[in-house]
Amino acid sequence: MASVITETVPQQSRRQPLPPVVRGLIWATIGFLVVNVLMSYVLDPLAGHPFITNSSVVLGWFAAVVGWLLGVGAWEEIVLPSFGILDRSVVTGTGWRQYFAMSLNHKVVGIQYLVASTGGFFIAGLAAMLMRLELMSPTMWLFPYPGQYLTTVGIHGTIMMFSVGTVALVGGLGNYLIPQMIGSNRSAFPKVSSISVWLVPVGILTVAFSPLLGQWTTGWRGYEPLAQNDANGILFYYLGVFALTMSSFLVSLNLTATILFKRTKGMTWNRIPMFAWGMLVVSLLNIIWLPEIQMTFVLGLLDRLVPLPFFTAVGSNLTYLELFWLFGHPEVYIVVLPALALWMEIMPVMVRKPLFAREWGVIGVIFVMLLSGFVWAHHMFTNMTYAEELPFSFFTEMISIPTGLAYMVVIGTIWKSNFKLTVPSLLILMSMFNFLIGGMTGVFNADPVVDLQLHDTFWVVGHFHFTIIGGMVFTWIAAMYYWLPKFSGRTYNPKLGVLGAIWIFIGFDGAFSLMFLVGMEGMNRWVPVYPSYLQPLNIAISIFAFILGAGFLFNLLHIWWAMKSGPKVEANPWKSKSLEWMTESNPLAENFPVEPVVISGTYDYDVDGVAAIIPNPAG
Amino acid sequence: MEVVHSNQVVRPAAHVEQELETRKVFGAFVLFLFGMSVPYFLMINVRFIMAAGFVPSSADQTTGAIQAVLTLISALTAWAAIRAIRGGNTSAYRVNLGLTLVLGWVSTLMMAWEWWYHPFDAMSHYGETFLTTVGLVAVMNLSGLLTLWASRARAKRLGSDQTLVRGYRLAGMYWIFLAVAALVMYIELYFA
Ligand code: HEM
Ligand SMILES: [Cu+2]
Repeated sequence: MASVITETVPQQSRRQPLPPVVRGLIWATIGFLVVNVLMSYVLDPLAGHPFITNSSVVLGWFAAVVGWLLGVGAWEEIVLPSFGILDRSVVTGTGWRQYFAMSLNHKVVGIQYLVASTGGFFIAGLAAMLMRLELMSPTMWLFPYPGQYLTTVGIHGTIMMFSVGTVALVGGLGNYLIPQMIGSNRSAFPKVSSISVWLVPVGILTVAFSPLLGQWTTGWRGYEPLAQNDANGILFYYLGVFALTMSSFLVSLNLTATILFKRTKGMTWNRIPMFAWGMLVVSLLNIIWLPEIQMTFVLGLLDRLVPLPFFTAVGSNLTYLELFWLFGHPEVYIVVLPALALWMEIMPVMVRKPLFAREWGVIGVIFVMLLSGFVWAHHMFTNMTYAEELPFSFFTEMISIPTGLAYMVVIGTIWKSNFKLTVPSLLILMSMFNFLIGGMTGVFNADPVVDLQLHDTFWVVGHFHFTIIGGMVFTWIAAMYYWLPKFSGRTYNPKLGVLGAIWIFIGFDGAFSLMFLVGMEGMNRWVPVYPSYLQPLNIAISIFAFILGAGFLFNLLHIWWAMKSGPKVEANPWKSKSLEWMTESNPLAENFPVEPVVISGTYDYDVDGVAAIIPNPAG
Repeated sequence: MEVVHSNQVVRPAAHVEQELETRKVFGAFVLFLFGMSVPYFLMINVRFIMAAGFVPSSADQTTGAIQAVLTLISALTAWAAIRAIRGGNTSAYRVNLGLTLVLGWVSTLMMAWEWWYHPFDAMSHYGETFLTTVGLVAVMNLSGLLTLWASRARAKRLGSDQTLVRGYRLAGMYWIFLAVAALVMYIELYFA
């Protein structure tokens, strides 16, 4: 071993025998088989019958994930060095290969996250299309069994929440942009993000393949004791979510430390970009609530494996609901806070005016974060006494005040400006409009008397999609158009961009506003069959949903095309003052050959001149 | 604005850079521990929801007590290891960390024993929270033992360069965190 340390062979001279992803797959397979056989043949009294048991598949899954992570590069990058063995082989690769291995470049990691998230979005989107197809008829016609429909709902919701909602703006845009925005060349802990991103495909595939173990009818919330009545697919729900939340937890630690400790000279607290503020508050929510839900899911897992009676015994079946929603409500702000921050980040550039009432925007996101921990039981109004409902109703309605501050900041920024309608600003306006509808319909849900009527109807489905798709997904797409030149040095076609925006706006608002209607008319959630008088509305919703699905695909193809062969643009086409635009557009290049110094606020568009300079080495 | 490509940047003095690095690492470590404490809090919560303050009279006080004492001593040896490495004494660090590892392993293995042999019904509300809480402590301890092992091996191979000491200290501090958490859970399971 000692000889290894003294080796001074240049790293690139050693070759990796296998591409990391291939090696990861092989090691994962071996890990699974070894542990599964150990469990089902050696330790199981009924040796090998069946080959896959509940406990063998769970432990085998863990072995597979460890094998996968080691294989994609954790062995050389993390395990060996932490034992003091300085290994010689390079797993990070060069050129395009960097995207298929652990990478210490935060921009490569950001793109890996974005690609994985997009993959999750379209897998879960496909599930949504199947659901809408089924709901075009009031009878079972597409799925042979109701449980299959419900499993599809669960897969859709779970993958959307944990691999898109929680991930795209944080793991994706956060990793890519935050170090550049605060003037750093790397994140605080490059290895942490480089490994965490590889948990995302694991999680998505685990959930997507959950039907291999049987159906689960609980939806994305995994409700107990319902879950214990199902076949075993719920196991892959717990495990997949475990992988995905672990990924987000690690990213959050890294991003928080990056923002707190890696800022360049002059990037003082009152100059921290709004998007960084968004990442900061979201990361704090993640650091508290993701371990909470992980532990809860471990208990659910043990309920099934051991089995223990945690959430199933008489008198304890509300415990799971409490534990789930303690995390669950902060989760919805984990999804939407980065979007609010992005509005405030992008708008000043578009209108060329300083950000209006910046402090109030910061106060807004901080108070949304704080209040989000006090409202969880508004998901359980049907199970509470009136006296218990009151405080939760109150706090829920209070949250609209700090949320309103974000609106105030953006509208104040646009006010009396020379607002330029571009594809990103159009999408942000659409997002603000849609999120407003989501928020205002939420006020109805926050009122217990009304909510008792609306609970578990499609009204609720309309409400939360307006907040999530309307708030987060529209903003995500806006951000992709906005930073396209940053990603690729190229830009989009404005006509196609506007077409794409209007396309999804029509599809989305058509489908989901009708859901309010169909919900009030009596359409329940989680049902593949319904009274036939609801069919016309459901057909209309489905048609709009297909339009929406095609619209998302259109935007994806357009962005993809623009990155590869869109018109080339200058380095800073929006004339933004933010630091990320000072760097090269090639993601494989280093951000700042020389550390920049921030000399004024990055939103000070009322004064000429740059916000940051690259100091001359001489002075 | 002129972008200068040069290697002769005026960099902050090395000790300033180290100072920043230390703040970053320890700051993130605090955040990490904050997150890691959540599952323990959750288990305390769940136990009070499920079993209130009930402790069965048949609970085996001796096993718990021995384990708690070992855990306490292991925290002290970890602390001694940290002090040693701050003074640059790698061999004392390794000895103390070795002791911590032995004590940690014994107390963690005793948890396996607690799983196997427990004088109350596993399906009772006390039983289920007992087994899962002990399980949480055991799994977290394993992560700590792995960290200690890696850190000890690293100290042996790489010595006590100033930039490495931070990592060595963190391993010890992580174990102390786990030990304190285990002691809190011990009190909760056997006395509260
Ligand atoms: C392509 C557009 C989408 C369509 C057409 C769509 C449609 C649906 C439908 C029909 C349901 C089932 C409602 C029920 O029976 O309860 C549903 C549930 C859900 N959707 Fe979507 N959805 C879309 C996009 C999204 C996105 C982008 C997210 C989040 C990022 C999301 C998150 C959820 C969640 C969390 C559920 C609840 C699942 C459950 O009840 O367990 N959806 N969606
Ligand atoms: Cu909520």
